[in-house]
Amino acid sequence: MIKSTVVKALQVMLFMMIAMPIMAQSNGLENTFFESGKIKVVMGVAVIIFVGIAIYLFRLDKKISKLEKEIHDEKN
Amino acid sequence: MKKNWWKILTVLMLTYVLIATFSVPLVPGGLGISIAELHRGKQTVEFVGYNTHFQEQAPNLQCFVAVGDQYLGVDEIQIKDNQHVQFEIQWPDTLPSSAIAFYVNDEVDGSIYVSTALINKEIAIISNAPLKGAIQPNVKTDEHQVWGFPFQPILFETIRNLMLHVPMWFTMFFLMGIGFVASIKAMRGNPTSDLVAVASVKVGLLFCILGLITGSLWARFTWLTWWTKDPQLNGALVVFIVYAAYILLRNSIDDEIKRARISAVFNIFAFVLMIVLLMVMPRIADNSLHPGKSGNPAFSKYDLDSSLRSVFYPAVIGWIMLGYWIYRLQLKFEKLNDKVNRR
Amino acid sequence: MQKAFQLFLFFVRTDLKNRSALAGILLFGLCSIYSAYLMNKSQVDGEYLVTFWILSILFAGFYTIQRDDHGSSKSSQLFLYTLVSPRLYIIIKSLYSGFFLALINLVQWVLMLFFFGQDWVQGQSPLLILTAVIAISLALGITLSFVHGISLKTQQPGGILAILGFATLIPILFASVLLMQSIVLQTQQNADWGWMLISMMIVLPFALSNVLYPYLWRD
Repeated sequence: MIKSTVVKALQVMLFMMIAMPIMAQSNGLENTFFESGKIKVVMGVAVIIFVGIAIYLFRLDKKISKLEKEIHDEKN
Repeated sequence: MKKNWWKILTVLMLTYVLIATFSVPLVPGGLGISIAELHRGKQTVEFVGYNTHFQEQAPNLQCFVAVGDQYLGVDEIQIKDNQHVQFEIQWPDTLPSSAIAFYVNDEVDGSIYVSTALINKEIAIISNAPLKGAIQPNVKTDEHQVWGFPFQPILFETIRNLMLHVPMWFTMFFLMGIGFVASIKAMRGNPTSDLVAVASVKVGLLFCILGLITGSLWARFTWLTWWTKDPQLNGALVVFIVYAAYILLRNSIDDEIKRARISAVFNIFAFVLMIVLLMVMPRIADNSLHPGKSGNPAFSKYDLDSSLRSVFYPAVIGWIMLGYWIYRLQLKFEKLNDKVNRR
Repeated sequence: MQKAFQLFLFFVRTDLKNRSALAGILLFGLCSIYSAYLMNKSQVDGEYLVTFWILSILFAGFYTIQRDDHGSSKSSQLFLYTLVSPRLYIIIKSLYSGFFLALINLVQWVLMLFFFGQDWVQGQSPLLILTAVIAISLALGITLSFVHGISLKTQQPGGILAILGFATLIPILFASVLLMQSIVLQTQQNADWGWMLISMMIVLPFALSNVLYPYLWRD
């Protein structure tokens, strides 16, 4: 389980590394980030943080409830 | 309810921080100009402002050009809208300096300016010579009547990332600090401290990844590259690798007592390495791009003014409290996991 | 002091007994530099050569540290327990592997000069280069000894040594490249910065391993 967290993290990093050059090529998408005082960069940063924390919490919650169920089942 | 007061406080603080981060306007500033080269004779320049009030302030509007520390007047000012104003400059035959800044001055916005490196092949520069037709305008930079976050060249709106990207690192330091203290306890034989250490390091790694990704995105649109040789940036990546190695090391030992002791030893080593990589090295390195490092202007003095501070400090505290909250959940998971594995 | 000398002699004796490992390390250095010579015969680029040398000493470091397995088996551990305290053991071991590495790295450096000539070396004094080689080897030896001590306690020592070594050696490799480039090629202006970094990379792991190693020793 712990290993899978690290693997997932590495997968995300790998995705970023692959996705970045592709994003860099498409100039149209890039230019929208420079528009109106670069406000979209801030939005992107906020989205990354909240999606990251949400995914982490979601997975953690699933794991905790699974373990709690296991313990509960064993007691009965 | 009484027990969870700090969770409510966390939510309140982060709500305040997020609303403030996205709703406080930037103060007026100069976004750019329409020319890239200097030409002999007359030149038409369009000045683009940001959050400015050119149209409303039309009667008070003054435009001028700073050459070194002297000023030059302009003609035929045409206000297009609140953000755009166009004027003509009659360049003299020689200039006293190559440092040229374009100014627009009015009651509400104060003196806003754009200083860019213009390509100059046609006009000779004679250092510190008196400028022909120089004027004495009333320059009042930073005397705008608008409240908001400071306007920084290049950064523009991304100054708001101060409340998102920077607290990630504060939170990581806080969590790794918890792990460090727990590891010292674990090394002396406290059995639950090992779980505290691994929970805090895992959550710290989450914030480290978020900090790296958001920093990379921010760098792309301010330093114009996803990744550079900045010591702070590369130090952060090494810290990530070191702590990932800690998790892997912990997984590869089956005996519990041995695992607690050995991973604690490595965690203490990793924490000291982190302090060196992120707090000592960037300060003595001579090629850092981060503010506050190697002689770059910090977000201190007037940059981190009252408007930024009133959001930045709650942001740091709020994100640290959120990190602590997630760490508590992770610790709950580690304890349950330990309980299940023991059976 | 006498115990330290005894331990030192013990290390030397085990190394001399195990001559094939020693020859293996030297042969490895020769092989890697000779293959670089075959590939990069026409033009000699100093920056690449320095980086290549750093890489070859990195592998030599891993080989050197994996060569001995004191403390991995129960019997040898018992023997060491009776001889010295863990703190003295890690001090002597890291210094011994540091200077052993320095010897290997100097041989590799001489081999580099032999194969690629001396035109690409712009540094003034051989003494400065010698000091740099010893400093880099010491930093590598100290950190690798400590990490090796950790990895011996796990189930897969080889894999864990690679992972932990990779993580902790990056700053040292960075400092080494900076230092060697600044004194050998003189492309970097800031040799002081390289010296400061490398001395930090010697002092810090040395102090830390002194404090932390006794805790690893308990079984």
